[in-house]
Amino acid sequence: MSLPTTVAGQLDALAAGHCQAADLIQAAREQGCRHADLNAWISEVEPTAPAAAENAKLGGIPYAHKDLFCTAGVRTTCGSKMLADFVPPYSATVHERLDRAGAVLMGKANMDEFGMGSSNEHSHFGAVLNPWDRQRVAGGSSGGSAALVAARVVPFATATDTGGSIRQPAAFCGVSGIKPTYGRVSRWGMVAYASSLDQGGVIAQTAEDCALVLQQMAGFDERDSTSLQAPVDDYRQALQQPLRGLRIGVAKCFFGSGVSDPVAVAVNAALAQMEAQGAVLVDIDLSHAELAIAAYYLIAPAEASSNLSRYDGVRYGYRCEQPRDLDDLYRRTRSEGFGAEVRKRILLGTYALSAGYYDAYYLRAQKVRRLIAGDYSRAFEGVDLIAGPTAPTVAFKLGEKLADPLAMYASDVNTVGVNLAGLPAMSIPCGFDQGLPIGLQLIGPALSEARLLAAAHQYQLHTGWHQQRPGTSGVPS
Amino acid sequence: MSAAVDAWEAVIGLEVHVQLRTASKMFSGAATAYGAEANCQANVVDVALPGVLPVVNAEAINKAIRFGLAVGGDISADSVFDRKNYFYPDLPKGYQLSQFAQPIVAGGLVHARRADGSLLQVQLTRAHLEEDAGKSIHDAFAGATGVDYNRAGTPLLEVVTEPVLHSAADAVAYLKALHTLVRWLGICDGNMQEGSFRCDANVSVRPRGSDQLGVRSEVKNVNSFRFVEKAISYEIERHIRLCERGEQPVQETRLYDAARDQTRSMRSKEYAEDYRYFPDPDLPPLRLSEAEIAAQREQLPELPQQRYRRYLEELGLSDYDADLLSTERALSDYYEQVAAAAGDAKLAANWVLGEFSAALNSAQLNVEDSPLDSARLGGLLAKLASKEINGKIAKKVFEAMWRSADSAAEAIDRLGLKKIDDSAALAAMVDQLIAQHPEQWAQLQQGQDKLLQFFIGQAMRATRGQADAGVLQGMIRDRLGQ
Amino acid sequence: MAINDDDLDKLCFLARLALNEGDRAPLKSDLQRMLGFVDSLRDADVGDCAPMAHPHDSDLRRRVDAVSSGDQCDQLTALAPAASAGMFLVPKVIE
Repeated sequence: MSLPTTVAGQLDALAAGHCQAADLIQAAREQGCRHADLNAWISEVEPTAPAAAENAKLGGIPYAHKDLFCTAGVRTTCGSKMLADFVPPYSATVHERLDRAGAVLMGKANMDEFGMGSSNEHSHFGAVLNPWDRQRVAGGSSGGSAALVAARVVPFATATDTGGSIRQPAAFCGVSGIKPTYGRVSRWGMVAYASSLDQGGVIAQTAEDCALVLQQMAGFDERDSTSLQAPVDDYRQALQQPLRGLRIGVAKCFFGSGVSDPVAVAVNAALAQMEAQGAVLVDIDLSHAELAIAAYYLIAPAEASSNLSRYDGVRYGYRCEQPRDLDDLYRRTRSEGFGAEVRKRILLGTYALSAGYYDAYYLRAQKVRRLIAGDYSRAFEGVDLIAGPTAPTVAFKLGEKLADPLAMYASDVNTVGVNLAGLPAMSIPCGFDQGLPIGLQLIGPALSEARLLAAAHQYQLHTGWHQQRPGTSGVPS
Repeated sequence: MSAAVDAWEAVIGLEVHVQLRTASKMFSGAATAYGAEANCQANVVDVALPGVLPVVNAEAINKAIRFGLAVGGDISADSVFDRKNYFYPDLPKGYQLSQFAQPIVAGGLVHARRADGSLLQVQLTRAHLEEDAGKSIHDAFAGATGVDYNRAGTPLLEVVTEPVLHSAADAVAYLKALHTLVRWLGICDGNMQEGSFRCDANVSVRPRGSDQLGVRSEVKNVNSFRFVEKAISYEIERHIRLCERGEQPVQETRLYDAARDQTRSMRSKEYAEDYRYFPDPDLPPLRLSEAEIAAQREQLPELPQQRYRRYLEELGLSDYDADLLSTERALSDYYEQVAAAAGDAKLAANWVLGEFSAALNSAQLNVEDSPLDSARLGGLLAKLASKEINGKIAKKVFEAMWRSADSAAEAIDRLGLKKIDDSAALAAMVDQLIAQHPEQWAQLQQGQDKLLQFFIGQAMRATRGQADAGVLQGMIRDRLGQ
Repeated sequence: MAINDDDLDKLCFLARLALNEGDRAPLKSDLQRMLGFVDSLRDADVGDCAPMAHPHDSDLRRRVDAVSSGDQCDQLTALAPAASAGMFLVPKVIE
């Protein structure tokens, strides 16, 4: 008997007694072995099937954490040599909540070091391969999470998104991912890259699965001062909301020069499909969108330069051998413990905050940020959602953009604005180019997760892109 | 030297770190109590584990508001916690959370008094909230420094003056007034040995009459009034010596070495630190409503300088007494209660500063631990004020009350010191005394007035002091026909 | 903005990163390009708009002043690369 691979399917099968949690765990382990070459795991854990718990909404469902959610007793590396042996004594709120919901942690997923990267090539544990084409990147920084879901190893994985790190790998791997409103999912225990942009979310095969999992992850947490107190909507119930009458904004800027023709064609086809289901397409203008990426690459490194100062070889994590003195301890620990991309971003962020450059760089970027957020608020006065391509191209070749940081950053052009404005957004599969998945991005106003999930679900009711799965050979099966 | 010294004016600004009295830390739920074993009061937030986040302590904010109101500063409706970035082993996050650009309190005035009694008003620049660092222990390990994060994250209010002080003595007068105020408000325990009240001094000199500021040096973390005075005096002299030689002092941080009574430059780094302050993305801005500020205003006690003026102007106390009674909150509150019960403010002042303080001293007790509560002492003084007993008896009763739980009336009864107010009995005794001392009586009658005291003294001895001297004098004068 | 050797040395000092001489040229060039890229912001008309440090316009929530954690010394120092007598150890610091 073949077991279902979605969260909803597995929950149904468990409820109907068609399988046991142990079967799902076993299947996940076997599928993981088949796809070990993806390098999607950093650590695997020995899971135990949970005792059936009352009200366990995700009871028995296997999953992976992006390896920056702290898990007490299970090492949490952030894809870095700095934390390669770090076993946190406490757990992230997200982990506590999923644990309470009965979900079964299978392991910790590979990622770009501290979330800094768009290809998952900047991991101390090596690059993650794209399940659709092992010559290509899985996207980043949540490449491991996306690859594990795409390869049907686990039905869902947690992920985080600072400038597109959920949506872009979801698009590259042909899966669905939601980056919630900033503050909707607690950041307690989620290792920081850029604190005002980071947001935890979920990658799964379908919008419905995203809804089921996010329901358990979302909600106020008193341990996070930026956590939102608004009640959490019933996401699953909201899925039934049809597309009829939904006003979808289409902004030219998302179809700019870097966007490949096949991507534009597939996204336009998806928009036509949604129109056919009753949605109304409205042209909108996000006039400062082209500044988003520059603002992002100042704000994120500035915050990161400060967030990563705690990795100093004193209290935990990597320490260099035989430090001569304190300065030597700091400098060698940090240079040996951090990878090249992280060091570069720390230096850039340090520069942006330093005396004489603060106003011209950091402060100016924060002003541009307000303009970008303002564009979105104005747009949402006339539309319910905004749609466009998640990434300008399909997954690129491993190594293709490693030498050129700017080319790498350009792949975030359509995703970073959402983080600057703190908005929720999704990426869902909407087509293929040369056998590689294309992602459709949907953006909503603050706290519109229910609306986003519903729109994505309604689209998925009428399309089959999300059901495509990579074969072990790398071609669609 | 003194002519040269007169040609220069010192300019001093002080930054005081006031440790706020809270049970838990500024941004974490770890305890703040002093003296715990190393790292036993540090939690995952205090040692900055990956993924931890700060949540601000309401009590620290309320205490900062009360301080701001007490000094008449502006309480900012919006204040922001910034990150001050630098590396040091006792700074766990690699940044300190501190209100740099938008402090919670702007301006304010501290009222101090110099040793000669003259008034010194010190303008504050600001007071802002920040977190303390841990402690580095340099002498416990061979070749290594140990780090204890127990203190890391303890709430501090940094109180910054304008550069308006011009002598080490004035600096100390200000510090003492500030020390009095923060303890008075109950926001700080004021324990300088434990580091609850620490001072950094910025010192520069300029030609007298100039309105330019000279290059300043900063003396760090001096933790007693005496050392502050010495450190500042040393720095002023050092600056003047340099200027006299035509040299420019360098802007630097110096440490005061109490053993040598001198300051020395701290080791300089290859580059000047650049703290790269920016608003902490983990903490939204702190917004204070009028209602919140008003709630704290309601909790403000009468302030020391207000009490001082009232004692001087309304109660007619001496400057000395008014000062002593408005320095320590517990003593002042005790005095207030005694004065109210006694109905005589001056008498109460004399006794609280006299007998009572002496008794506390010899028993080595704090006011709070006094065996004699203010109501009982007030009761005793009320009897003295109404002349029900005299001063000599009052002292005996005081001693008895100190050692017992008796009220004044009970103690007087128990000691058998109740005043004789039976005038018939007193009159009989006076007549008897006159009969026993005919010579003295004759001399008194001839106008030797000093013998009046002889008869009063004899009567007091006979009554063991329980007679009223005034009544006795009246009776004797009656018999003299005066 | 041109990044010279002294700028790079100063940045490495502030960030406490070591710099191998071999990395100097490529790092300078990368930073140069990244700064050139973000320089596009300089032309943006930001008018008098207020900087936005937080995605939402929210107020700082406060915590009741209560002790909520106890002695975790053993657990925390166990994570340390070097610890002794309940303290974290670093090479001797001379002030």
